[in-house]
Amino acid sequence: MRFKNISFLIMFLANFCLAQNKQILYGFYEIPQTLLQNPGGRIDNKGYFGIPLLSHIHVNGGSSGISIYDLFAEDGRDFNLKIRNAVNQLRPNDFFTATQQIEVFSGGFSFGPSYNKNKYLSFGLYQELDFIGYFPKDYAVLALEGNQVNIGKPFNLSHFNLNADALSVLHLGYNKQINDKFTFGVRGKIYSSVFNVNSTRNKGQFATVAGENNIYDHIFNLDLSLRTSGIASLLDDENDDFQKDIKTIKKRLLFGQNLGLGFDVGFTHQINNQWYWDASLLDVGFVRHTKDVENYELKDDFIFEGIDPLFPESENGQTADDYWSEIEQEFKDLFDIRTTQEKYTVWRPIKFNTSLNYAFGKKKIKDCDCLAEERNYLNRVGAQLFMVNRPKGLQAALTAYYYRRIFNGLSAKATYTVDSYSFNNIGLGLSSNLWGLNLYVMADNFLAYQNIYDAQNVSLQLGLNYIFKNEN
Amino acid sequence: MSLGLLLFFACTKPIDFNQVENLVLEPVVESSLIFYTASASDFFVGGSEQSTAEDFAEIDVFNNSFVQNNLIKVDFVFNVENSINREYSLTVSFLDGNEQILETFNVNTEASPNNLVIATQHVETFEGASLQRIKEARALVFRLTMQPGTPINQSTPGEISVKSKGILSLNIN
Repeated sequence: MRFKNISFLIMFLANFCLAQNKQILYGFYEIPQTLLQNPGGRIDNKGYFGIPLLSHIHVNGGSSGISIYDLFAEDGRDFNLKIRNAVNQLRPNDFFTATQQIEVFSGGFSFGPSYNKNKYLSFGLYQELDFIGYFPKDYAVLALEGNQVNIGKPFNLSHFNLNADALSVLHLGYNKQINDKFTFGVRGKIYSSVFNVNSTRNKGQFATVAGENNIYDHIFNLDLSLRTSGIASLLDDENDDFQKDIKTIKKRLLFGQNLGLGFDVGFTHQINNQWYWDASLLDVGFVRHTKDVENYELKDDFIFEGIDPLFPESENGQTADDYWSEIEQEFKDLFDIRTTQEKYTVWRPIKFNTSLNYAFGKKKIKDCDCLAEERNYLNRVGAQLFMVNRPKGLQAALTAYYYRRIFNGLSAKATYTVDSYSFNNIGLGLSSNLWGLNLYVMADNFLAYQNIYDAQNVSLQLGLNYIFKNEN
Repeated sequence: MSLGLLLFFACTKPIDFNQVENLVLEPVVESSLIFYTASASDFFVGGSEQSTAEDFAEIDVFNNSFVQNNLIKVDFVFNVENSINREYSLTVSFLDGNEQILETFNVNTEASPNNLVIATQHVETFEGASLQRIKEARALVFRLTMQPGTPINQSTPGEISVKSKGILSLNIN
């Protein structure tokens, strides 16, 4: 059964890549890409460029209710039992998510009067793949059990809810340190969509209830839609030349047919030498899908109570066959899928970050105890809050971290995160600077690495930059 | 290098994705089928007894691969309530494309001499060979026969009603 394989492939991918939180990267100022987490963040360099295609690689996958190991462990238990348990245990708000990003190029430089280069421009292009799908609980229950044991229970059709986006983002950011206390920044973004699949507005129900004329009334109340852009042309082309499809996708990464706009904003407030507070709002924007659009809609109401073959209520000589034909037609209409090319808009998942940070443990500076600047502290602890707006509402994660400058050119950050996936997510990131070359790598859910299949959420980021250091 | 280090530390326990092949869905679907209500006088047409009513419907529901491959059992359940002082017999026949009878069964109802409601339930089950036969059906014929008994007229009291459902047991793998 092909559909089974596809759905499991999606679950598999979802388990392997993870969501949008970059709790380790956030506020790790040695790494230029922190500016993409907060355009108003502090900046530690006077310029940088990312090594093309290697400057930021991010994969992240999560599943809020279940892990690969829960289902596929080779433990001798009956797979059908495991599936049934999973369906019973998962809630319709449980989700599977996957995000992947690759920075194609990026760079930045400070500018301003030579005595005070307090402004910074950064720019780049990255490609992003983002998927979220909620667990279609009532559909799964219907497929497993049928309606027999669910008489009177409405199956909620809104449980089918997913969005998949592939796009590239061209961005330009401006950052300004206004004074010792305050830095702010904005970033404008142009989104170029490769494809989108969106089904987030489904409504309706299917219910079997005790009937009046017959044993049951079957109530169909359908309002389902699936919107796609950039898919039809890839599927429809007569030649199934994969190379050509790849070419089309490449073209869209730069000059997509469906474009969008968005922005990021953020600030950092240095409260005193040791405390600072920052916040950012990312991806406030949308993509307008106007070309290569194909939407599917299923919208109808029907109540079926069976047929009255012998003594139909209509006395106009209608035969059972006429009557039945009419019902058959009703059913055909009911499940008639309407295809449209209607343009549509999809909002990007807006992300919010904020953190409160405390630095301590002053670096011993030879014969000078004067400049007790925050960046001379070797340790930092803090709390970070991350929120992302998803089709069924906000998802949040709370992180506590410890940062340590181990020695010049090597720093590390350890995080502990509580989110929808787990209460024991420990992450670790390292950033090294050697002869201007900045290499960073970070991953979370370290406890799960004993058995990666049991992780409900894994995320990995790494990258390579060339950095022009601040002299001071 | 760091990535390699990371992957080195990442361990796995044995998992087997081929278990998907064992997945079997076994939903049981119930659907209303036919229903009717007739009073005794409905069998008295134009001054004389009309003891049979018959009709047919062409059906397409078995004619698809999903049903052919996955339907493993069907129960037809008939709930009959009769308060007419006559016996009835409902004959349901499954016909193939050449109008040959594949399967047929009767739902019989006792007469009610005192016009109190007599409720009966009839269950007809198709499995195995008989199920294979009705999967070939393209038409259904319903024939309701009023058996000989006390003559009825315009004012004979009572009513016969039938409600029915199909219980479809599926096995999808």
